[in-house]
Amino acid sequence: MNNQKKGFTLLGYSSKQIGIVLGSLVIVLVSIYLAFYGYNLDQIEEQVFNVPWGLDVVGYTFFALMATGSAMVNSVYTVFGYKGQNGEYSRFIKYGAWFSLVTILPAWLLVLLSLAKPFDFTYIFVSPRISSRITWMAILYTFYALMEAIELLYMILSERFERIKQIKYMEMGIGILVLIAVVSVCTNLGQVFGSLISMPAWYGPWFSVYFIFSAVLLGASAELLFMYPILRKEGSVRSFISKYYSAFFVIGIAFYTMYLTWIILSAWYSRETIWPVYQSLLYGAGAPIFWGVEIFIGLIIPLLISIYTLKKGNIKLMLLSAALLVIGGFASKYSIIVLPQQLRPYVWLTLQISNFSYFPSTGLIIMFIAAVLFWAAAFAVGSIVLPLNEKEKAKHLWIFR
Amino acid sequence: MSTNPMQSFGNTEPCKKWGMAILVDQCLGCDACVAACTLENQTPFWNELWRTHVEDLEFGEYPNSQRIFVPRLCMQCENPPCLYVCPTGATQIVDGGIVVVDEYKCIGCQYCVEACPFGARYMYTTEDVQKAKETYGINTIHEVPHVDKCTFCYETAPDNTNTPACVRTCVGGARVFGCLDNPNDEVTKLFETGEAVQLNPELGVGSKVRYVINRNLEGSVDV
Repeated sequence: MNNQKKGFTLLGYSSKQIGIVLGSLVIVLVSIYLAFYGYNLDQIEEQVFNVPWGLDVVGYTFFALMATGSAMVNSVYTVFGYKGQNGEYSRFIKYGAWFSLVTILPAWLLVLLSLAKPFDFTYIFVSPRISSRITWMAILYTFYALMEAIELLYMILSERFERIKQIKYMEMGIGILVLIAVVSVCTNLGQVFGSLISMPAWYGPWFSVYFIFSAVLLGASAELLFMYPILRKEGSVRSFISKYYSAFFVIGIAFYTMYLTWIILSAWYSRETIWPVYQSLLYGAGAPIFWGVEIFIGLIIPLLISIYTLKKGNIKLMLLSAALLVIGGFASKYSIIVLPQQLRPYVWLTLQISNFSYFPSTGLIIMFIAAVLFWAAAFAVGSIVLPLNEKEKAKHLWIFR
Repeated sequence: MSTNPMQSFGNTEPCKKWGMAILVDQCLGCDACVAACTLENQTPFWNELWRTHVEDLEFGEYPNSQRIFVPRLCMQCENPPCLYVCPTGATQIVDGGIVVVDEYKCIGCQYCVEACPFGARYMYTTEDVQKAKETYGINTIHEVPHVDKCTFCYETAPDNTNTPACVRTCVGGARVFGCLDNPNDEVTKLFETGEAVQLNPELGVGSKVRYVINRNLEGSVDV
């Protein structure tokens, strides 16, 4: 009776759900078109040759860290078995897995469009050079996407087929493989930058660790923002999320800040080549973004909010904290990737520090906006067509609602 | 195994290791080498990108200041950082120890551009390919977008000689090019006596382009 009152249904989906899915699919298509439009525009715009890795690579890193970070956060449930005091975590873990899987797609879209010949990326698989960190990124991304998809499929299929659920340690085994994949992706991504001896501000093993801290913060905050609209009506889950993510943010921000301070202090000892970058960050051209967006908006305010909500539990403040962390996370990736390319040391008989200017082209900005649209719309499609609620069984083709 | 199109003059055996010594004191800063290279290799001069160019440096303060011209190009490293980072194997070392880029295999990720400590690589974009076609017509040598760099004129090897265009054009004789296998070659002597020095030897890249400078360069640099 209720269904009839709600109007048109198709395969069990309400008209509202069908509308959202169709609307989201249109946005997915439009965003892909926009991304290629931005790419073509970028090709004919005035090129910024001195900063080869601009907003496209920043955006790619931002999404890749978000995806891997959210998978790390999910591993608290899948690997370490923490399910909340009353099993609240089980209510949204499948959404978390879907979020991790879908968030890697805009990263791939941006990194492919950062290539001069995007469709030739297959050469990485056809004729790989194993010494290249980018080759390893391709291999590890394939492993990661495969494992994350298997984890999500396991979660969906185990609700329908009891015998899958009963296989001992299956969930944990898959969870461990996903965790290995994401840590490998994250650390290798750090070493894409960290293995370049030509870029002293990037060079070294510290980038990998920095990326892991950064990924956890970005992943947890973005996951919270995306899942809130779905879980907003569930009071007990809301309260759990508020406290659980508060704890995550407080610990994450503390570790991140400590590590960032250590990096800056270490840079002081490489005065000739690395320090100019941090000088710019601390009291030069990069200072407004560093102090204003990365530190104040992206760390201090979220930390204060998270300390408050850890005790009092306020989901709306938590959402604000998460949004600020995402903004701060993006700003920090922008600074850490673009600034060292602007202030690059060259030795031609004597040391010279370049001072290249950089502002993203219109094409790159369009590509980034397209990736964000693509991401949100793709998440919405999966959230509706996949059975991601707790104990929800798939009705169509084993995996669809 | 491919044959080396550039063979030492009078030798039938291909050279295994080409090298160049740059006599900084003899460079006049006339940019003839840049012009020759631009025409030879169709580099995108419209974007002011070159395979080789000349740095104009000033040292010290008046009245003790001095000005020198330093030609820049790919160092043809024996252990090139750009080679190891290339994900598709587009960057290769061919016979003669020359580092080249297979433009069809290059996907344009620009990892090698970031990896080169000497800033010797640049992107030959889609628009540059188009402009090259408009400028050079059927003689264009750049077919698709790729990362470009100095190859000691490996691709063109005009007249089947072994001399790159910049060396042939240099009016001051500042560029000495030769086969490092040949102990009688001038460049080999400059390398072996230590007169020609590597830039950034601490990087351990083993560059085959070295600099001879017989001046005291104390003082600040004004670029």
